[in-house]
Amino acid sequence: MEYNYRYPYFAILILGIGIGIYRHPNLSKSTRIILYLSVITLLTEVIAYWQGLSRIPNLVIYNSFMLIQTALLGLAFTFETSNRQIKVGTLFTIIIVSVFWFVSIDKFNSNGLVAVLTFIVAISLFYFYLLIKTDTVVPLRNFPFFWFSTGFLIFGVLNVVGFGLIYLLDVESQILNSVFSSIRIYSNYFLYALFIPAFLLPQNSVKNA
Amino acid sequence: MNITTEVIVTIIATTVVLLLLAVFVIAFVFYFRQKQIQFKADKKNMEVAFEQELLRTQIEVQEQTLQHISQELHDNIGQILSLVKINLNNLDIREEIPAIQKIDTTKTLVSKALSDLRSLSKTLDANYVLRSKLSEALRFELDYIHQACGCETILEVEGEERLLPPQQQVVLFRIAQEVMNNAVKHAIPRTLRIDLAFGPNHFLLRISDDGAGFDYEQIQKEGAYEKGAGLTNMQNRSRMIGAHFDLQSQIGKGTSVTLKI
Repeated sequence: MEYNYRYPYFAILILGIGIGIYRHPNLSKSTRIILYLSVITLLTEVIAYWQGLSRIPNLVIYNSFMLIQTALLGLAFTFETSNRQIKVGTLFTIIIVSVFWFVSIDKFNSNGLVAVLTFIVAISLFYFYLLIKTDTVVPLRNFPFFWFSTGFLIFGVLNVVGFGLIYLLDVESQILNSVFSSIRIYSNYFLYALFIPAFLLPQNSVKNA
Repeated sequence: MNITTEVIVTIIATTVVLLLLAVFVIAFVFYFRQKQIQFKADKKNMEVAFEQELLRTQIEVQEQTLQHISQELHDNIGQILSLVKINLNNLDIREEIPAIQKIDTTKTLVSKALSDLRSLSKTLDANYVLRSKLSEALRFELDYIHQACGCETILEVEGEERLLPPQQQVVLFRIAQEVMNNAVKHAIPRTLRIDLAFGPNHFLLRISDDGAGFDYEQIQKEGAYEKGAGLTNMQNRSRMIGAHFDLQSQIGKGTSVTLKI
């Protein structure tokens, strides 16, 4: 069987989801939403992979996933922090992504993706800010959203920079495309690998720390 | 730019970004830990301060109790025993009828002294405040004040009384004791009243008198040292046990102190 970058990706996701399902009764409400997001991510990737193999265009599923991802992430971070600004930011991002999608409905919504990535970076940084403001004796590792935020921050920043460079350098080269693709793939691995400790460790939130 | 330059730029940019992110996360973890160590130290200091303040409160309660005992021994039991001694000194067993009368009187006096001693012995145990219900401890204090200053004392308990945590009980008792002492010393009230209310999620203690009262705002403005310090101390202690302290006073109409948990 020929190696495909999706196999480790699927393996990490399946492992994370398995642990998440096993630990489901102990997970906080907000962590459960991230677990559901992982399930949706896996389904999206599997369907997109199958569509790719069957030579069916898979743009719709990726474009729809962006909206679902934004909504679920916004919901999870809102539950986690009880912060109104995150709710507003989520709605704003969903509107922007939808507008970009409808403007070029038959293409990959790359502008929308940049908006989603910016949103991801913003809420991760915001969570770090809330965390540093919290007076607590709970170890940092026992905040699942510390792991999620670290993963999303690194994933978001690397991909925003990657997209920025693609625009800046006006890339046509095969090598550069493969470098950017590697950044995307490895940051994905890293992001979903961090879900595993987040699901495994005790669940504390900035609300009740 | 040629392809090689573009690749180098991309790799350098990505590495720099990755390094910055790594530095950010490590710095965050380090800063969080430092803050946590500081927070733990502050918490520990607060706990020590709480324990010290609690100990001070207990010592004050004990001092007050000893003062009561000393006064009671001198003014009451001492007087009775002096009378007993006089009776026994004047006893002439050759005169049968007056002797029997004197012995009967002496017996009554000794019984009274014994009964007073028994009730006094309760307070000799310095932890009686912690062991008895708050209303019982306050009732005892009110009885003492009634005997000492002659003012009318009232204690009303609303709801089903439950045992409060020892720290709360001793602090509440001490504040009530201080408020009552201040009232007797400065306000000369006709009536001293304590209201206790126990609800499922709340507790209230109110000490009120109909004495001289004082201008609370004026004291706060002028920062009158003795009164101000006493009030600040009571407020701090209330805060320490999570109680809300409220003082209302009007010249000529009396004072009321309310503690709510």
